[in-house]
Amino acid sequence: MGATYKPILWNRQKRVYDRIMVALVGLYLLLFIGMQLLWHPDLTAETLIIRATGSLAFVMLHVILAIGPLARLDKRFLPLLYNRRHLGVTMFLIALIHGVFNIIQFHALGDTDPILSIFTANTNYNSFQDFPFQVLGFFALIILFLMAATSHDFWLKNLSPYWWKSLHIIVYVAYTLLVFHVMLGVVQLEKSPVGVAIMGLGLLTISGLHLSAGTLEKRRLREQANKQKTLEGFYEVCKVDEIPNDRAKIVYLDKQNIAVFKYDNKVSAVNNICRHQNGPIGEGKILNGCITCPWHGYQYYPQNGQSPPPYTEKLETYDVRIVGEKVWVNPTPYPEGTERPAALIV
Amino acid sequence: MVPELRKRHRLFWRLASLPLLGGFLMAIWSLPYPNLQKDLPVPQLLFSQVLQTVDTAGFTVQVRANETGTNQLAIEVTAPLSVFSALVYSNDLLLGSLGAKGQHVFILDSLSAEPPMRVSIKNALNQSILYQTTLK
Repeated sequence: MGATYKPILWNRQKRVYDRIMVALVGLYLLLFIGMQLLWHPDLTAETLIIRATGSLAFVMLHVILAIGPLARLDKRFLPLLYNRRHLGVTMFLIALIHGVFNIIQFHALGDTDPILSIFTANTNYNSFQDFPFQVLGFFALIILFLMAATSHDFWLKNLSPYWWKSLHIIVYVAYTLLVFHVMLGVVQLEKSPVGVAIMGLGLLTISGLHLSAGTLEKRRLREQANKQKTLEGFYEVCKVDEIPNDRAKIVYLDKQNIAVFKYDNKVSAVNNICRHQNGPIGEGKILNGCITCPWHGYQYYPQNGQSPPPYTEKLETYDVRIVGEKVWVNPTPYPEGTERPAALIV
Repeated sequence: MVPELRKRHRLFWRLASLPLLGGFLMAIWSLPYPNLQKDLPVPQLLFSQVLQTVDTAGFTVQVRANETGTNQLAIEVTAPLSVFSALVYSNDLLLGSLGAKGQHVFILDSLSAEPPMRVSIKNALNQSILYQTTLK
């Protein structure tokens, strides 16, 4: 580690993102605790903390899971994706407070080890209704810990973006465990249907968003595959006018994920997968002459796929032709960072 | 994200959406516990006359009465409960629930006050008995 090493590279966007997040977290806690004190004035401080942190962490997990598909469905949500990992780590810390207070309040006062007590206090493992829901929360917390602990770019770099992303898909398992943690836990003990309604709405929203985003994307890929015409290894992609200035069209040709950018009266093609976190750089735009990834702002030159110095990330490049008003791309990739002449728009 | 990872995301939600929704509906179907469907009595003020007192680790149980001869059961939780929620029964009749540390008071009718009074405190989750005593 060098003397200039900084664990988090702060910039204005990250600071604004985090300030808004902290303000919303504080506002939620204030409102929740205020309302609970109004409705249940006899609640102890411990119970208030357990309820406030548990509900907040679950709400935050819903927001985190909604950001990905929302950004794929509508680019206006992309700014929310920018610092999602800070949202995730904050959510884990809040969930940890919930878990620790629960263990102290419900499992630390007996003659059994508190962690063991989570598994043995209620042993109705063969019952759906009486299932020990705290066990589900415990395992979800372990998963969230794994994700928070590996959220730093150090792990991203060492595991590679592919394995890092693969590991972080287990957040869905944590979500599934938490849905049942809530449904078999607090919802079973509360009489109000409001909690059930909110839970159902959240579940439908998250699964609906993910299914919609996935289905639309698959349909787009299929439509693209049906339209393709080839000539001397080149595939017809679209009309030049279909690509907005300083933006790209994303195409899948011969299993290659390609972003075709139009800029300065030229067209270039690079691999669509950002080397940072596998973000879709074709959904970004050209800023100061560089392709800028919409997820975290990593940049590359369109003509050679290289990051501007001192950065060293590189993308594969592709040959592009313009015939008449049509753009044609050859999906055979050149090695990362290879300069290819841009096709000129005449 | 690479297409293969996108495919995994799609696959997860296609496989998990229905079981998640099914589990959610099953949880609603099993909601709530039959013994919680009954409205719990409103807490009462402490009556002045103490008829009986039983002290134990964690609870002080008293039968109290007022001038008109109405009885009430007062339970003081002296140590934090080790369970999520506890229910109070007298002669197997549900009187109410215990929450945080402090005084909890339940009105007794002719059946629940009939001697000998079998007072029990049960774990609301699995109905296991946390404490039991018999009062004359």
